[in-house]
Amino acid sequence: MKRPAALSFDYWFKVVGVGFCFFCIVLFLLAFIGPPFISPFDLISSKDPLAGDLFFKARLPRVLFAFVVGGALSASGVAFQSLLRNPLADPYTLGVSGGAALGGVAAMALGFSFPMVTLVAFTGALVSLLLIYRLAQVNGRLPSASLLLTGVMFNAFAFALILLINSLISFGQAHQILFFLIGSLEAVSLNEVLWVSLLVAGGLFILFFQSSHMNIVSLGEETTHSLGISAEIHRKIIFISASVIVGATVAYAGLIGFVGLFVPHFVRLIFGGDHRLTFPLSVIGGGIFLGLSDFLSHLLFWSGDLQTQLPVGVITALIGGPFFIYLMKRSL
Amino acid sequence: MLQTNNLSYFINGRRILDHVSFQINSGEFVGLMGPNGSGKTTLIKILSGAIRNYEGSATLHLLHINRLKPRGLSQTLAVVPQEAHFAFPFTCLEVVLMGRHPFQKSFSFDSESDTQIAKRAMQKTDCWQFADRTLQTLSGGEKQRVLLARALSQKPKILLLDEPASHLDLKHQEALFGLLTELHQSERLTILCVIHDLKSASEYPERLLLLREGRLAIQGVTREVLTEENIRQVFDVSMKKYVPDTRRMVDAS
Repeated sequence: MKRPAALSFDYWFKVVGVGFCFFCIVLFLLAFIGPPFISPFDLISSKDPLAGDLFFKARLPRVLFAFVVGGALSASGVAFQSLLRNPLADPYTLGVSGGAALGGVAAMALGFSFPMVTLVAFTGALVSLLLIYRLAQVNGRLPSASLLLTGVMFNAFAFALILLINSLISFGQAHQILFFLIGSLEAVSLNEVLWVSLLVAGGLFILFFQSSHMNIVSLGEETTHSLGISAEIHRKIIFISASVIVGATVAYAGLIGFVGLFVPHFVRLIFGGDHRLTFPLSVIGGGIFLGLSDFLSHLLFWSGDLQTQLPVGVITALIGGPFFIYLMKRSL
Repeated sequence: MLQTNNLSYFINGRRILDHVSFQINSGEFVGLMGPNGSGKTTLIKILSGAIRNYEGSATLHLLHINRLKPRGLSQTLAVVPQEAHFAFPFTCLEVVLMGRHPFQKSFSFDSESDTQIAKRAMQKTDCWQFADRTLQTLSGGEKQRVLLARALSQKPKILLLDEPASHLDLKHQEALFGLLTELHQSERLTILCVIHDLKSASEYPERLLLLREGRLAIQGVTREVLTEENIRQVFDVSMKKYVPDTRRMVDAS
């Protein structure tokens, strides 16, 4: 389907509709394929009680979680890219992730349980969101340059503290922290997935209705004004919603890299720049990409000689990195 | 009616505009001139609502511009910026359609009439032929024509232009000012246009404002303003070198 000169509702509906169907199909398949394969018929007939347990306690939460986190990361990637007017920004550029990671690592070092770790990490994200918001403001505005600098500095500072904590703790804990920093989708319950989904859905809902404003915001503050929306207000809405999404995903899944950079870029190469289309397609694409990456990491562990399961962050970067370079070379 | 009264603006304590007072009536075509760094762009930004923390007053129909909502302001007043950076692969038509954004709901698609308005604006500025190309593939002058089309698709009553001709070739420069004159005459569009080229300045606008070091040095009817003496005072060059037939104008004044 050739990309039209400007977005029409028909085209939008077709593309997003097809994308959404594809999303559901992949989600459905991955939930059953495994490994190990769980037959949907076994589930319905409840012949095998173990299958039901495996499906609802392990498989479904994990697959759903991958799709939610993937969608959330690439959605916030799109939002930050338009805010900073830079396609190379990612969900972790603006520092909120650093705050979340620092909270999570500190909680792990103190030996907290997993639910507490996520709670502290999310609190860390909110605190850092507030701090960055206050520090980056200039005369009530949120200019890209100061936002970017504050975020980068904040990240650097948070990671210095993380490394400091890392060198003070035992080897076992350090290993746990490493996993968290690379990002993994292990050990979530359906309940926890629900919590993340709620936060993410709230943020996505707001951002979706900002997506036509993102087009304007990406033209810079002055043009934003002359095209009829308040740069002050909309930049803040976009920054805060996207940051809450990032905070929630980092708190639960750690720092899964590349999804938020790679997926929006891929979508733009095919479907162009209009955020009304880029945004929903990135959510869809991010979910599918992380779902498949997680499937791959699961498969490798199942069939191979790996001592521990490969964190999904390794897979996303291993696939995403070279593919990204390939796309970039092709589009130049 | 655009009006400023003792308008001053500072950046880090440095004075950019210094007690600038003038009035532009509805339906006027006014040129804004001045050397680099004299405050022309800042003035345009203040009048378009992008800079709000100025001193003194700047009003549109007697309403303070820095208290107007961007949406309302942009339905009356459009800006053609000096240059624009596009981070994402928007097509030209998409960019021009963004001029319809002030009239649209929060999340909506462009209606048939929006597209028609955008198409007409692009035909007027001679850029409809690259409607489906991305902005990154255009030259500087082609980009400027797209930006002008975007401003026109806002259907403004007032048009502010910041050096719209800087990247244009001679033919399109002539076409640009021809178009502005036509819009000015047929639709009573109010125009404030930053111009560097003395020849264009002498031909098209009815009145000129000359800025120098943030102060409004000279203002008045074009042919009274463009004298050898004024140009030497503001630009520190001789006008004769740039406009060969100045003597006729000087004599007329």
